[in-house]
Amino acid sequence: MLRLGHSNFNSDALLIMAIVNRTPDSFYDRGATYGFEVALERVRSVVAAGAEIVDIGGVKAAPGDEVDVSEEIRRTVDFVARVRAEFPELIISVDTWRHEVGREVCQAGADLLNDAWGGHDPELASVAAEFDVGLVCTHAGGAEPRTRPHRIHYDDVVGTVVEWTRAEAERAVAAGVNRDRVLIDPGHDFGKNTWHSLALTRQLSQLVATGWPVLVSLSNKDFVGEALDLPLDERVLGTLSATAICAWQGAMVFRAHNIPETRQVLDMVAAVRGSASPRRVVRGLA
Amino acid sequence: MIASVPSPPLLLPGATGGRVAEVEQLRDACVAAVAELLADGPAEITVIGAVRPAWTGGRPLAELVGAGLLADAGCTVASQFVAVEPEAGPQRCLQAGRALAGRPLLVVADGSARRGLKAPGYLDERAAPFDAELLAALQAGDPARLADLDPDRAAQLMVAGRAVWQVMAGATEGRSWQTHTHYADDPFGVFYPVVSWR
Repeated sequence: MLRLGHSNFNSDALLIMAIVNRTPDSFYDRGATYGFEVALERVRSVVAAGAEIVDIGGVKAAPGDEVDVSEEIRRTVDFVARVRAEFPELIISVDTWRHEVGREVCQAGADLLNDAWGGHDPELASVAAEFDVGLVCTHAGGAEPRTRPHRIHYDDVVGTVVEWTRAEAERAVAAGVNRDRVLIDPGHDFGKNTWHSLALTRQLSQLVATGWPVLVSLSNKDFVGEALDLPLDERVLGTLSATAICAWQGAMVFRAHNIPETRQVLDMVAAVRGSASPRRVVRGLA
Repeated sequence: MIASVPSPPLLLPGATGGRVAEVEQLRDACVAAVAELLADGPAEITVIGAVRPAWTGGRPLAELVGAGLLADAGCTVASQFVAVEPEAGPQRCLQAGRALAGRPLLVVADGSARRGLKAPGYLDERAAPFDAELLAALQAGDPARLADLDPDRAAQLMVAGRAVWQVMAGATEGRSWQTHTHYADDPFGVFYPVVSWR
């Protein structure tokens, strides 16, 4: 079972975590929702399109202008409070690796800390424990936050990621995070080249087999672009294909930019595997 | 007391997945007709319907749909299914029906499946007039007009209920009936009349 905010989810749930960037420079939206009001509009629109979770980020993942703790707090905390006020039941995640930011956003009403840089700041788990919120334990290969992979090698990337995320999840629980609030994320493209990310997608069931709920963050990433040799604005179909493949293997949470499309793919996966009814069956039955 | 309802598999429990408004509207009409049948407090209901197609467990689809509608209407009395050979000629049907005279009947029978370009049997322009005559006979409460339905034309037009209605004609002949039409439409290209006779 997965508990996020006030909600409980069975292992056959397929949840969308919609990306809401309060950054002037994020790779896909290029700062489109940096402003407070446009970001709030983005939240309203993704909720209407079927996202259960919003993931609010104040720092782009790739290298770029320095964003210190106080600037990251400025970008995220008031916004979290505003979203919490407007959507009392929405699951609010914040994408941060810094425990100082984690503490402030939890006080503002966040339900989940998305530690996309893989335990770089071990204090983040303690903050999640203190506020009884969730924690995403991501494999980033020990990379420094906001760095690009360079000549990274794994003899067995899937085995490495499985063992690392499993250990990190147990470390979070040992730090006091509620066991039902921990997710693992193989960290596509984080400390990995495209071969690694494709292998993790192909063998995602091995992460699912750990028993921890699996979050995947695939959306428009470079491994999709390189697999298809397509630029940033032509990766939606590739992203959705990988989404279906991960969902079929048991991933539960999908961090995404393109919400209506992702919802449709996940609903189709649910219908095919029989975890949700088809909506309207009449063909051949009149 | 007679209730005539159709037998699309759509009416079976869970068949549509999510809720389909057109099906629920049809189901409501069918349940209303069955409720009228039950209102007299019969000791037993006789369900008549085609022996084919066979459905879950090899039981006739008409039997399953009839049982489902009886359950939906809160029926607590026993029911007995009388299977009708869909190709049986009118005389044989009438004769079989006479043995059922006086019984409360749930008649499970469908009109043409060739009523539109998207109908199961595609469009046949003769379907609408045939169904119009069928509905007129049902609404007139006139067993003789049901007895007159042409079996060859009915087969050409995929009228699955022709033989069943002629059994009903045998069971109801010799008097006129007051009728109540609950539904008469073809949301999926098959004609579904829902009519009560009293």
